[in-house]
Amino acid sequence: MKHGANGKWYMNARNYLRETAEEADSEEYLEDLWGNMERAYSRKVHGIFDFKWVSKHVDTPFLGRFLKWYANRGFIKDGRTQKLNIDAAQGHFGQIITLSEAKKIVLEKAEEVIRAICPCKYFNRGVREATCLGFTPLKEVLPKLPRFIPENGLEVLDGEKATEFLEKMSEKGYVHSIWAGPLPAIVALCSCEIPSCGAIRLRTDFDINACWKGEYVAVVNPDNCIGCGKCTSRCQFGALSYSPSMDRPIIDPTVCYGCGNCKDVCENDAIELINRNIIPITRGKY
Amino acid sequence: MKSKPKINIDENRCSQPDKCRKCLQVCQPCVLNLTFIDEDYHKPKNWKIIPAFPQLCLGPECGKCEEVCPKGAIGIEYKSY
Ligand code: SF4
Ligand code: SF4
Ligand code: SF4
Ligand code: SF4
Repeated sequence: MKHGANGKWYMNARNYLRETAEEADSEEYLEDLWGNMERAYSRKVHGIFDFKWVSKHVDTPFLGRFLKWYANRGFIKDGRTQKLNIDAAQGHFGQIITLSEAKKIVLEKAEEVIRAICPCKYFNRGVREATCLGFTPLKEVLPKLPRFIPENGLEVLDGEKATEFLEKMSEKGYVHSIWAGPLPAIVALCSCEIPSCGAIRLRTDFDINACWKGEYVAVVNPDNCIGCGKCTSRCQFGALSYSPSMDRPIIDPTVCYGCGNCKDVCENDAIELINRNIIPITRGKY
Repeated sequence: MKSKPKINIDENRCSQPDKCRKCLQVCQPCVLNLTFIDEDYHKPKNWKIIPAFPQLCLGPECGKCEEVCPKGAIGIEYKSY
């Protein structure tokens, strides 16, 4: 992965260019990946195993460790230089991002932004909702996969509409994540929840790193917190709990994904996002 | 003797899972999935419900999917092993 501004791969404007998508054969890849999304867990890898089977063996002493290693190294493969096994979603790397990062991406990085029906909420949760923002390569592919096109069609959103949409998703409580298809081409920005997100749930339920944690860790500032409890219903990851003795929330940094949902809802500026790499126990732990 | 939940889905009764999807919406841990069996993935027609992650199922005591299914297509039972 090549990093851009602030060392973040998703802030590297190059990764959003049509040219990068072409180098990574993005359209061909996405047609296959999105076209088969509803069978993401039952596609046979090398004709032998699928994610359903893998999920049942991740806790097995030696086999489990091997399967996780195999899956995890696949997600971070580079579509320009490495052979990808799409059955195992290789190259489909994703990471949690904050609302302000998401807004910066749609305003400054992405060339074109469209909305698509979220395949994951459909196959995992039975809900059809247009919560995935897609960028140029996905926009080109979706006409071949009409079931992911929202009722009002493939409308290209301008910066204002896209940021408004992201704010609405945050208010709803969704978490934002950014996705490559395949690396390094960035193709989608999703607003989703756990366990509906097909990739994030592999992580939260089975410890398979299909989605990395964000760059930050949330920390409560006790001086500003008034104990209103607003943040306590916002954490999708179970990192935030309410301490009755101190009458304020506490956050477990080793569980926190740095999505910023708790911070965004706090009216007292009592939650800070700190770079995970300056905190010893979370350094390098994505 | 140990036991674990077994999820039986009668495909003949569940005739239009892509339209119904009720069971997916009531299952807290998202055990069930909607998937398709068509070769061509562009406009799939043959959908079905599968128990993707039965190891997360809460068992017959939960049974929410069974209750909500308008076609009586789901059965949750304990299987000994
Ligand atoms: S929302 Fe802010 S002020 Fe309220 S409890 Fe949470 S951190 Fe404290
Ligand atoms: S504690 Fe806050 S930033 Fe961390 S995962 Fe939970 S909601 Fe997101
Ligand atoms: S019994 Fe409950 S946990 Fe199990 S599949 Fe049905 S709804 Fe889900
Ligand atoms: S609720 Fe019953 S009929 Fe409806 S999709 Fe589920 S199994 Fe099929």
